[in-house]
Amino acid sequence: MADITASNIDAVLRSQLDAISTSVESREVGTVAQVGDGIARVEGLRGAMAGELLEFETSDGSSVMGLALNLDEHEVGAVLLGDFIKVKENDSVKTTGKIVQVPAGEAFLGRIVGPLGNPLDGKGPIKADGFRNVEHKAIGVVERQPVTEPLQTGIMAVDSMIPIGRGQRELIIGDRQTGKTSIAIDTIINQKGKGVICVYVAIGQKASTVAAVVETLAQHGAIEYTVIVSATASDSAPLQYIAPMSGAAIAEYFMYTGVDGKPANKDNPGRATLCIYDDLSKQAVAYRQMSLTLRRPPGREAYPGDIFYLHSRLLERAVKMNEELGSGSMTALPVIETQAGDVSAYIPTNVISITDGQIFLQSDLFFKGVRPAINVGISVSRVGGNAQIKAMKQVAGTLRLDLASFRSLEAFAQFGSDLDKATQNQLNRGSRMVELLKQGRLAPMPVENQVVAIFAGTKGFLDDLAVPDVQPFRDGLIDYVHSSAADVVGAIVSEGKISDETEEKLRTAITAFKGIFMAERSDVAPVATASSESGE
Amino acid sequence: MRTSRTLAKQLAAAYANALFEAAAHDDIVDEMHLQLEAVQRLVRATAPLRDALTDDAATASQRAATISGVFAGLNPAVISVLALMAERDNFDLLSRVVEEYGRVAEEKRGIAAVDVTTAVTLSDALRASIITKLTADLGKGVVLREKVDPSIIGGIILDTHGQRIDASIASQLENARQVLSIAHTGGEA
Repeated sequence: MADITASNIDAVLRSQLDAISTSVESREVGTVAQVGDGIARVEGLRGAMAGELLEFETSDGSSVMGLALNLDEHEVGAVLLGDFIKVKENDSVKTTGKIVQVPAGEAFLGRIVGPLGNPLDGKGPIKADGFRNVEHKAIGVVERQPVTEPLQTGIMAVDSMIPIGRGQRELIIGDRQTGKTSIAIDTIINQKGKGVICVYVAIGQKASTVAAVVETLAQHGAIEYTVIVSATASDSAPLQYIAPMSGAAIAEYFMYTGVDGKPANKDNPGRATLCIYDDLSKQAVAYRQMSLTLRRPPGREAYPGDIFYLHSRLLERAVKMNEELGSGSMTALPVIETQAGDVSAYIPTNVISITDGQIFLQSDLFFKGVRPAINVGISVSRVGGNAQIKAMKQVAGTLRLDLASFRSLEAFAQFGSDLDKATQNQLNRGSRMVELLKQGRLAPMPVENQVVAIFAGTKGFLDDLAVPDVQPFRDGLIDYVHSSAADVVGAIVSEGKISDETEEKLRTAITAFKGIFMAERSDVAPVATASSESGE
Repeated sequence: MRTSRTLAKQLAAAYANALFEAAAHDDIVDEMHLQLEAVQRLVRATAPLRDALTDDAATASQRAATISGVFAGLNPAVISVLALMAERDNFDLLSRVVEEYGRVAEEKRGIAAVDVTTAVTLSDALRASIITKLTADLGKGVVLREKVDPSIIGGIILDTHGQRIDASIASQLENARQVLSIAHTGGEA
């Protein structure tokens, strides 16, 4: 940084003052006719545009911004952003010719900002590299390419059965307290070192919850590549409404620019981004409030008619761009909270139909101890399969179906006791696979480890283990393979698939470890056999 | 609630024409415009008054009485038209009536009213030059409605037809403040 001298300061100020335009332009002016509930009806402003930013001049000389939403013959219905208490009747309102924009730039990484890009973390102003429109039209078909690259969540159940690709939109849906946010946070933490920029948008949550998320990310070193956009429950409805779009705009900046800050192209790749909207049900509620106070007609569940369009145009911004545009991507993980598992409510069905699949979390599974509480029967990923690495496809190909048939058999087996051998085997395998896929919070697993673990499960190496031994076996196996058969892991990483040779080595390694494991078990825990009897 | 836009338009035009004819007869077109705008501002700013004048529970005569009570000092023609509007439950059209009145007045007289705000009282020479300039720009006669507001510091603000030309020192200073407050030169963190 240059020396601070009087002449330097003088020169800087001069150059900035030169930039001020002294030209006078004519602007349209209207008058506030009525204000209340964060909504203002403004008379005049014949030329206002839909979504245009309006400037309200308050009596104390400050200005408050608003968003023109209803354009009527004689008046404009606007929602107020910011300190709307100050706006009074008869205040004058100017059009600005702009639509709502947020600042964006590299300096936003690691920061917590409000929906308008203002810093909330007390770390001082953020240097913006530019402004982006909050409402940005998603790019078209020609500029895109199919989703082929995986976005690893580090969660075995997701990466194996509901794989997510970069540029995909995968809904996380479930009741309250089923671990929706945990999946999102684990996914962010797993992006460490993978070059994915994450944007976490908190909508209508408690400020303490947001603070906890920030703390978790910071503890795991994930905050450096993450931007938090926060519109808490105490923010006004318009801010909650705009927050996901702001988050998308901030992510778009990274997607459209290369590391050097220049527009992305073939030689200057755009960044991969991940946007988490937590959660869109709250945004829908905020938008409903705005619409009703603007006197727009209510529709189903009192949501306005364009609530589908609101979510579809937001999620359509998720994209995998073609090579000419720098191959950047935006993966969207919207979150929807259901009420008592009711996925047929209005907003859940809408968002399910918009996204490329959903991860469905159930509270009964959660309380049974299946965590993450993913119901694999109704969770799907419509495009992610193409994005899975081949090794994972090889080992997890039949996992979904196996687990689905296990679930149906399990229900059936509750009635009778005499089951034939084949059915018993299937039940055995199923309960061990369920156990294998259990995973703690904040413990994302690299994909090669997942492949090894699932390989052991699907090839029957766990069938004669007691159910409670499955997780210790899995963790021990991964350590063992890394230390004693590192070439196998190396081969999976480098080749991306399991060749016949690797498979042979892997089998040998698993058998060897199993010998060690069983020996240890019989020494320390004779109870293990007893629990295997009662495990079924 | 009224649903027909055409009907609302016709009603507003009828009230505005009645007001204009009364004003033209007494040659107080501009004074009446100012009075109407004052009424409009007062009604907007006073929610209880607005409610009382559009309250379905009150009888027509009660609403009319409210008008004659509150606006007793105004021109009798204004009072009677407003009272009629209140009586017929058309008071929500007020802002349209005022707007329409301005339009009719401009059309019938070929003169546009322009609000001029300055920090000090206009001198005759300055006034003449503003009128000449505005007449040329608008292509019709101009009547200035002058307002002195020291808070704009200097310069001039012109308001007409919902358009504002703001050449005041206050807004230019504000502009400068904004440019300086968001500038980043020399401030890399």
